[in-house]
Amino acid sequence: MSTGASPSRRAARIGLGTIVGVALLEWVASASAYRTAIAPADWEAASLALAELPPDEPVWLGTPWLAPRARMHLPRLARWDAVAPADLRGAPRFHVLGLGDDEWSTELEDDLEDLATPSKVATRSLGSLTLSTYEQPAAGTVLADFVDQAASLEVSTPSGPCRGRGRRTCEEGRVGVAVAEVDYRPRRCLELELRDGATVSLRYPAMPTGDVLRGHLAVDDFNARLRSDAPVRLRVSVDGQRMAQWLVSDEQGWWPFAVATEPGTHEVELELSAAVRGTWQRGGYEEGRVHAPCVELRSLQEGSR
Amino acid sequence: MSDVEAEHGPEMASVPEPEAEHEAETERVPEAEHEAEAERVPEAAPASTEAPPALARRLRLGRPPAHWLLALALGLLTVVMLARGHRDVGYARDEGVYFEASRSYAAWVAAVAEHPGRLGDRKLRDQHFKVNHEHPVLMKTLAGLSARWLAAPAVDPARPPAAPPSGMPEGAAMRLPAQLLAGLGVALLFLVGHAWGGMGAGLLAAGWFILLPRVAFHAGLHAFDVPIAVGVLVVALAYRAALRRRAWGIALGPLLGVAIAIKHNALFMGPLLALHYYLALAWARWRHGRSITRAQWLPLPLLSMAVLAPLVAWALWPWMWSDTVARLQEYLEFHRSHSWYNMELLGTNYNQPPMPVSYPALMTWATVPTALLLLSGVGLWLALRRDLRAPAPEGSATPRFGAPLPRGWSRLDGPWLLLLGLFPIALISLPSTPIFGGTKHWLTAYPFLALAAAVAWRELWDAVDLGPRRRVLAPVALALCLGPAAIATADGHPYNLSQYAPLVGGPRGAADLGLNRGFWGHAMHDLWPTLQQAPGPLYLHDLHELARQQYEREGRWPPQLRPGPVNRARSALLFHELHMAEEEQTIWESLDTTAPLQVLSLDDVPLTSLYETPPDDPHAVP
Repeated sequence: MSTGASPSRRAARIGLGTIVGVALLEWVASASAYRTAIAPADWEAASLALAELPPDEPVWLGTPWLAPRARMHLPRLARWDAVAPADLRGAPRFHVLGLGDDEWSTELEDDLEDLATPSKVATRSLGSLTLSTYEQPAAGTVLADFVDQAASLEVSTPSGPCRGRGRRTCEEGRVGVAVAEVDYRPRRCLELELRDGATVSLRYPAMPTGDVLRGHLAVDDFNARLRSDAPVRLRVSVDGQRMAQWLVSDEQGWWPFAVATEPGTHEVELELSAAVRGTWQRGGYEEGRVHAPCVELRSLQEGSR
Repeated sequence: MSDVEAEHGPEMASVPEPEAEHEAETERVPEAEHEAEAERVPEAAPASTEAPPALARRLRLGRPPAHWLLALALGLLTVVMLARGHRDVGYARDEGVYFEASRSYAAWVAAVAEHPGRLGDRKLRDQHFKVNHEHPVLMKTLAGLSARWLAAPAVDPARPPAAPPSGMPEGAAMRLPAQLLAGLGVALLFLVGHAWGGMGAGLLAAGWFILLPRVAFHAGLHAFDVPIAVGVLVVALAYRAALRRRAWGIALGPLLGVAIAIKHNALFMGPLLALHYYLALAWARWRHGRSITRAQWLPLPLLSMAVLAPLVAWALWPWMWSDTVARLQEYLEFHRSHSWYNMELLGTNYNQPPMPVSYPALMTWATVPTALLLLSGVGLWLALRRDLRAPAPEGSATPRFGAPLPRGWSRLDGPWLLLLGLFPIALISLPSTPIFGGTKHWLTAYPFLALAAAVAWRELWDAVDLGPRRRVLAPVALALCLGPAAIATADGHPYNLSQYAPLVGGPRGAADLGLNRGFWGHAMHDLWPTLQQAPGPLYLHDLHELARQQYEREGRWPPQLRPGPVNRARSALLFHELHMAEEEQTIWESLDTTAPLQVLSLDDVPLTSLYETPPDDPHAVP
């Protein structure tokens, strides 16, 4: 019996041919997908290549998911400047290690912020890995860094100076260098855990400055993924004069700010006010948990002197 | 029998049913299925050429057809492969809880078996069934009993032996019931596929299902996802048979009750099958001009599901024997308001609804080889088209309460496959559905997509009309279609929860796309040698403490490696997921290093990192 429901011979041949063709394609794809691409020798080659690089030229990853293995095999990529950069500023020349043709990444693109696209000046094959070298003259030079010089900062609250060498403790809370997770990325910064409404001052008495201060503010908090709560107030003062003030909420992620400065040596002060405590975490709302603002600030010379 | 030997009719009426095959042949003659008769001949013939003794004939104990033996072999092979292969698969988070619950449930069974009078002891019942009462207990009870019968004695953590005790590990014994069900599923799929389209279609249906990395992974676990997929398949096949046979109509309710006792997905089956039934009835009335009799309004299959299924499900869940209404409400509310899991899709972490509607479809494509999905899609289309175009068969049996869609009434196999194959995926797609997690939540669709692929296989090969060349080409094409899934599964073992389809690029391609890496804290196999030397306390991260205790009970956990919080840990596990980034950074700060000691990878993609405090390590964070 024919109901006319069976496919025609031609349609069936096309259908079967297409399916078998796709299956063949999948066999070919399987041959490359289901195997280890990076040989131990590739890591050794990468290690030797990185050892030849000047120590002040950062190396970042063009294949972000490879990070744990890269940190395991390559000490250079376990450094904080590789693991948790604030952005791509201060690196007029840098290197990107990636798998295959991963010479750039969306993470690096994000960290570029408003910088122009850097120029790729060299590419070196290291087996399955590729080391690309970029130049970005507009990236400027870092002259001083609040996070790197955290030990020499003067940290105080209205009730007096905070004590301690590493993590400073005050009546209103604590301040210390930490790695914050912001939008699923590590950011090294000064993290503040303060009472509701408390204000803390971070002062760098004689900070070498160039033509700009650049920094980021974020909230190290799972909360940011669920909702936005009371914002953090940030004030920047230079030589006692308030230069800028912002309110930043956790929804704004790794939020960049900048203040123009005169080259020289100045007293630079950051003043932060914490929002009310209580945040949403994996287990639900935790009323006693504080928001943890996370701030970093660097002085840079970006233009020619 | 190769594909070319089987000639197949336009209908799919020959799904194995409980009756003898000889009866099955007679049922489809009037339904324009004279072509379909031929498909059984090669298999049935050997049995009929012998002259079995009268008793054996009466009991239908003739030599079983070859395809039944092959189905049995495939089922057994599945069980053996899972039982052996999953010794290397670490214990998933949920399993840790299920192990604990299983021991408790089985202890109740043992207590009641010893003192039957305690069956009505509510205190004893509640004491044993309170743990993990948000899920039905059938699989856990079977697992617990399996462990009581088969497992080696538990190790005392205070006096760990030098080597793990000989015998079956308790976890392996507890996984066995689910693995047996997976074997049953494979055998059933082969039988149905074979009945619909011969050997090739049978092998395709079975392989489509069990060779998928995600199915193979879940099939071996002490969990409910593959068991319920098989349970749903059994119920759907029983329903299909029940439309023509009273015995299946009676059995359908209890079978659905058993499926509900496996997992809540089965709760959707009653409404779905009722919808299908009334659709078939409306089709018969509207398209074929048939009169609907009163006996068809509320027939035995639907009544059986409505009455017997709840009773059986209730009987199989002793927790529900007391405070039934309140506990039932609690159970339903738990799943209706399920907590949101984190799930990464295309680089974005979702932890509150709505997930993108495309999530299940995209993840299905990303984890099932495209050729197999194409076959399923073509099969669904061809099956629907056939139903739409089929004229009313001449002659039909009278519909009865026990056989509401008898011979000559279409059972609308196309919509049957479509409903059951797409509903689970559509359900998870709904913006209001809680974010449950991975592909395991719509595995119940896969048996029907596999059967749809079998339909396509039959229809396409019949239509291309290659003559004798089909004998060679069909097996080659079958190997081509199933090969990528098999290769992916072999490559991904024992981490197939993190495996992806070849056109996605496997694990590396999925990592590039920002697809979930895994979520169950089980990927540890290659870390065991290092863990033997690791200093404690160990931060377990996503490894559930009950799963760790299971390793300990089996003598597999290093005695020196006590678990501890991250701020006191000297070593730490980190199971990579996007939303776990915060955990990893906490580990960096606590252990003073950003460099893992060992990274467990699948095709270069990190799944689990093991960190240790490195006293003199140059990687140590200054």
